Amino acid sequence: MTPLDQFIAALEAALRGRPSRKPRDPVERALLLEAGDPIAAREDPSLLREAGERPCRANTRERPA
Amino acid sequence: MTERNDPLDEGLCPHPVEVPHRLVVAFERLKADPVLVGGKAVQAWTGRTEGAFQTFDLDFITPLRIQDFESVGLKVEASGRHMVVDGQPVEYPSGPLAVGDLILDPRGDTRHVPTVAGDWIRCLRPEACALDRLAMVAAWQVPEAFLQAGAVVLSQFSQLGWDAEWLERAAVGAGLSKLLAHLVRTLQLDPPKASSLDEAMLIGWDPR
Repeated sequence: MTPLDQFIAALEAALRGRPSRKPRDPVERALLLEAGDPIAAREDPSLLREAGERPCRANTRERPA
Repeated sequence: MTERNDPLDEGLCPHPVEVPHRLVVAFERLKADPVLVGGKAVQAWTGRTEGAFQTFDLDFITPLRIQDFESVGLKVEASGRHMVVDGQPVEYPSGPLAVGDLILDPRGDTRHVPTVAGDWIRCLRPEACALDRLAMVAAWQVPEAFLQAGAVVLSQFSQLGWDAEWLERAAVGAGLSKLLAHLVRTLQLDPPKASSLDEAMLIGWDPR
């Protein structure tokens, strides 16, 4: 097993069973679900972002407690 | 595309990504040179497409207006920001090309990667791609983005074209130096620790 494989295996094991926390704009999520994207299917539908919103300081989401 | 560099000359090891040939032809007809970002850029630099690396989404940063694509026969969705080309959703996030609040150079901070169909497209350089994922961790606490950032670094850091100084400088500029340091520490652990993922979610942006 390469260091890359080891790293991926360890962190994917930690991710298993958790919903993805990636926020999406609703149109994009609908298109991805229609295309059969499995990650979009695991996403928490309540996590939304504005169209075109990028990850930067101004768009930082409050950390979960 | 004109002005293309041979990626082998750039000393990196990109993997072919799924981008519809019809879309690349449209870019050429519009004389556009958009930059691939997001999850597909991660696939280009890691060669991984399964599990946390799966994405159907193509994100391109371009100065074009999406309506320009209608002039070359591509249909724009009602949202005005999306297209579906050969079954693949394509989005044009608002520019400029940036990581966090650090504006990038669409030429100097990008590299060319091959597509499965045999074309070449411009893509965020791997060091910037890793930082882009860390920005998702800092802003939105997306754990799979930390995994993706680590995979990009592990896949490319030993290549001649990898620029560790650029990465450190850009991380400071983007406010991500603490998260990058945590990622580097995580990558040095043998075996890797899953708890590093939860620790990463608590770090956030560098203090101003």
